This record gives sequence, structure tokens and C-alpha cells, in this order.
Amino acid sequence: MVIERILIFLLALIGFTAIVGAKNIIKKVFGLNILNAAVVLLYILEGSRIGDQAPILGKGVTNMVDPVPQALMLTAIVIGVCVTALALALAVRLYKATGSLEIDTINERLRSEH
Amino acid sequence: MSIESLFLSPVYLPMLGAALILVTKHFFTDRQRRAVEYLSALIAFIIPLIAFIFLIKPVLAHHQVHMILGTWETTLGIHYHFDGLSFLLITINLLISIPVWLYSRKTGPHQETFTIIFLIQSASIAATSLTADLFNLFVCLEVMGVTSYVLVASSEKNKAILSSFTYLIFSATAMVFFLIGTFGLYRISGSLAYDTIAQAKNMLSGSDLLVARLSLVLIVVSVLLRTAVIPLSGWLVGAHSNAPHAVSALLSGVLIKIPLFALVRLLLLVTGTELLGSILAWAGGISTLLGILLALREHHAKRLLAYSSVSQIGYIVTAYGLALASGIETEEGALLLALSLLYAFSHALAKATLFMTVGRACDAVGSKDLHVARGALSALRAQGERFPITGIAYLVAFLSISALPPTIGFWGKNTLVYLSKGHGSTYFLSITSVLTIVVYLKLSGIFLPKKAQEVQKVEPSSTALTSLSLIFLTILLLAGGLWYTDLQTFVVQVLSPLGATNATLTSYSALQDLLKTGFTTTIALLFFIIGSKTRVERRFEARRESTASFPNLFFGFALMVAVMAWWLLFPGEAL
Repeated sequence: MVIERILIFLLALIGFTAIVGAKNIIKKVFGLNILNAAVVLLYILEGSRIGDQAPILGKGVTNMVDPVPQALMLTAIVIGVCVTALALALAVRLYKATGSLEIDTINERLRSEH
Repeated sequence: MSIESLFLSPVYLPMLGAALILVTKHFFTDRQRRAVEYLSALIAFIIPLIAFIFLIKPVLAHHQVHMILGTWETTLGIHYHFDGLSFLLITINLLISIPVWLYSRKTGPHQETFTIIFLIQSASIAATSLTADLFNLFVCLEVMGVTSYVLVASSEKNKAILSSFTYLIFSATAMVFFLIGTFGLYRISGSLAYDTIAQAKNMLSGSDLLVARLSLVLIVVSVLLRTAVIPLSGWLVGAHSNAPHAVSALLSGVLIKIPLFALVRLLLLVTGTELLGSILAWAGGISTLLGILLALREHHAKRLLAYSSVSQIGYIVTAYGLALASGIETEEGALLLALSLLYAFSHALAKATLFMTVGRACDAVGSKDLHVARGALSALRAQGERFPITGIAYLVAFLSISALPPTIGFWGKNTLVYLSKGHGSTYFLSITSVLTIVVYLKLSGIFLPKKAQEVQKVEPSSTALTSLSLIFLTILLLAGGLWYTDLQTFVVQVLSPLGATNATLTSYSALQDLLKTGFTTTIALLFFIIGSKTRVERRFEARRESTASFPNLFFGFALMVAVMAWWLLFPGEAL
């Protein structure tokens, strides 16, 4: 379990670094997605502590994983997709307005507008 | 009709209204579609309002409903809890949403999608106030967030899109941390319902307790970000100042307060949050002062209002934190929570009116720069406003936010400051009272007559709906002031199932506060006159518009978590 957790932490760190540090706004959106994915993996890992079979009731299924985290993450993934779509739509409009995807350039070009 | 269908109506009916507009969008003519929009708004706002009038009686009788959506068993289903708190929050939302929507008919945004998103947002606010399930709270907050990003971006300005993007990335990242916090609490309690989580947490010790506390810190900080407490408020100024006026009014008025009060359900159940409350009170106090200082530096009308929102939210957070610190089961704590909610209401009314009137005035004069914009009253008259309702509404809102009688703000702020005496952050609140008056005197310059009067010829247009919405808010501001004592008794009574019953504000003297207000106003006037005569204030003015940079935003986030870590390490000690 420890090695998985370290990997998930690294994944989250990559996402977070991209959100904070990347100059390109598309990369920021990617970073948000990676960070989201890390949390999804964390939940799924946690749910699998108590079993090793998919939580679909059927013949011979005894050792199920916890189904609640999976259900939650399904919702979280859907929300993540919505937010990503909206963020990309905003990025397109920013590009159309300023002709750039770099956050500093966008800031500079929009500053003159009132 | 069952009580469930009554209190769920503000969640379901706006959704129904939104669906109605979406379905009819492609079939009807323009005229019919406008009619459908009005019909949907009627369904979404007026029917729940009537339903809530019927709910006053059960709420006063402390009737609470705890229900599980669908036919799930307790451990799996989503819990909803209807009580006085959700009643008050939803009522605030309805009372502000109705005038804001009416106002938006004239001033825009004019797209049909605006009404759809607006209605969905209203539904999500109601759901946030009702939920008693941590993951459902996450979903509601996300719906609320996504709709507000769209509403901010519905402005025609390109700057608004950048603000919306910044807001989106920042708050979506914070919500990931909220999820991590939820994970921690689920792990130790195996449940997402508030009561089960609290039960499990209250029995923990050792390292598990630390994990639970850390999870709670992440959740609280993410919610505080939505509430825009300094240092988490960097996104707010851009988003609220660049959004269309109607949207600014709603976001600043209602949206920033709902998550805070939704969280109180969980915090009240968990024990050992005294120090957390104390930290919140300090953060609130610092927020009030820094927010108003930043507002003082601005000469852009809407940015000034946005910074003032940061400052005002500080009052609410201070009272909220002190309520947690002294414990809701004590009389003082119960009163503080009630006052915090009442001040949220009074600020919502005042700030919505301010955004709407100042927005209208700025549009009429054609500038938002406080150095240039003058003569709004005559400009508005030229646009067909025969009776100066915008000016009057502004005046009343100005009185309320500066805590001058006879408005609701006077009572709200003074009782709040009176009760939070003894805590260090009260000093911040007192200084801020003076500065708030100075800031709003500066803003009032828009309504002063121009020196060389040249009235532009504009096409006069009907302003009936706008005037109606402003009249509605003005009446609420004045009525709240006139019947404040009754209102306060009502709120305390309605909230009493949460904590202490029969809490009353004793030994509070309004006369003394009246004298104090006179003193405060005199100092503020002096400051203002000296400042504007000597032009000393211009030296401190913001030279260029600051935009929120991402590293700064996240530095604020880290700072807040670090401050909260105090609670993790030394939970027992008082601050």
C-alpha cells in the first residue's frame, strides 16, 4: 500500500505544480485534471482495502471492495469533466480575445481594456 | 401538502423552470419564449416563497425534518435536514434573487441561458442549505461554483472571462482538497452523513484524531475560500467587479455566505472546535480591516464594492467564529450565530442594492472611474427616470452598510460588535466602521452634480422593473431597521434547536450606540474632508489594477492551512 500512496502523492504534486506554475492556461487545465485523477485513485485505493472483487453482486462474489468510494468517484469524475469543459471553453474565448494562451500575455493585453 | 414537498420546492421548482426554458427554446417564437422565462421565474421564486410562508409556523414550533432522499437505507442514502437554519438561508436567497432577476431583465445579460443558469444556481443554493451529507455538500458547492463561473463570464467584457477562469481554476483546486478532507473523514467513520461522522470523530484519540482534524481543516479552508476571507479572497475582486451588475449583486450578496452557514451543521456536531472558532474570528477581524483598506485605495467603483464585500464578510466570519469558540449551547454562542446570520442578511440586502444602483449610475454616466464619474442623478433623469429611485435606494443602502440609523445595518453591526467585545478582533471591527463610512462617502461622489452640466441626449426607456426591484430592496432595508428587535427575536427563536434556547440580548443600549455612531461618523467625515481637500488619499491609490496571480492565490491557501495547523498541534490552548 505504501508504494501506491507515494505514487498517488507524486501524481497530485505534478498536477498541483502545473496549476500553480505553468504559464500556459491549457496546461493549467491539464494540471487540474491530473490532480483530480490522483484523488480519484486515492479513493479507489482506500475502497479496495477490504476486498479484491468488483462490487457487482453475482454468483461467487464474496470478497467485494467497498462500493461507496467508487460511486462517489463516478460523480466526482463527471463533475471534473464539466469543469474541464467549461475551463477549456473559457480558454478558447480568452485566445480569441487576446491571441495568446500565456497567462502573463493575456493579463497584459487585457489590462488596457476598461 | 406534506412538509417535505414544501421545503424541497426551492430545490425542485427552479430546476423545473430551467428545464421549461430549455425545452421551449427551439419551438417558440421570441415573444412566447419571453413569456416562458417569466413563467419559469414565477414558478422558481414565487411559489417557494409562498411555500415558505406556510413553513413559518412549523419552524417556529421547532419542527425539524430529517429525511433521506429516495428509499435508501440510512448508511447509503443522502441525508437532508430541514430546520430553522435552512429556512433562513433559503429565505435570504429568495428575497435577494427575486429583485436581482427583475433587475437583470433591463440591464442584462440578455441571453436566455442567463435565466437558466440563474435558476439552477438558486436550486443549488437551496440544496446546499438543506444537505446533511458531506459528499452531497461537495456536489452542491460544485454546481454552485460552475453556475457562478458561467454567470461571471456572461459579461461582454473580455476581462470577465479571465476573472472567471481564475476563479474556476482556484476554486476547483480547492474543491479537490475538500474531497481529500472528505476522504479522511470517510476513512475514519465509514459514513458521509454529518451525524455519523461527528459521532465517530468525537470518540477518536491519538493519530486518528489528528487525521480527522486535518481533514476538517482542509474542508474548512476550502469553504472559507468560497467565502473569500483574506488571504483567500484574491479571486473575488476580479470576478465580482467584472461580472454584469445583476450577477455581482447576487454573488456578493448571497453566494459567498451560503457555504459558510452550510458548514456550520457539521461544525456544531463536532466537539473541540473552540480554538478553530477563535482562529476564524481572528481571520474575520483581519479580513475586515485589510478589505476596507484595499477598498480605500480603489477608484474603480465596482472594485471598491468588491473589496468592501471582503471587509463585510469579515464581520460575519468573526461573529461566526466567536459563536463556535464560546459554544453554541451557551446563550452567548447562540446569539452570536443568530447575529452573524442576521448581519449576512443585512449585508446581502445592502450590497445587492449598492451593486445595482452603482452599476446603473456608472452605466448612465459612462464611467466607473470615481475621479471622472459625476452627475449620475441628472444622467439617469435624462434616461427616463422621473423619480430618483436609484438615488434614494443608494442612499438607504449607504446608510445601512455604514451602520447608520434607521436601517437594518445600524442594528446589525452594532449588536454584533457589542456582543463580540472582549475578543481581540473587535478592535479591527471598530476601526473598520470608521473607514467604511469614508469609503462609501468617496463612492457617493458619482451622485454629486457635475460642474459643467452637459446632458447627453439618450433614448428614454422604461425602467419599471428595475425601479420595482430597487423599491423592494429599499423597503426591506428600512423595514428590517424598524422591526429589528422582532426580527432578531424571530431568528434566535428559529435557530434555538441548534443550541441554547431563549437567548436574549440583555443590557444592550441602543442609545449608547447612537452616540457612538455619531462620534464614528464625525471622525469619518473629518477623515474624508481632510483626505479629499489635501488629496493625500490619491498618493495611496492603486496605480494599476492588480490581477490575481496564481502563485499568490495558492500562497494564501497554504498560509490559511498553516494557520489552521495551530489547531492541529495545540488543540487545547485558547487564543
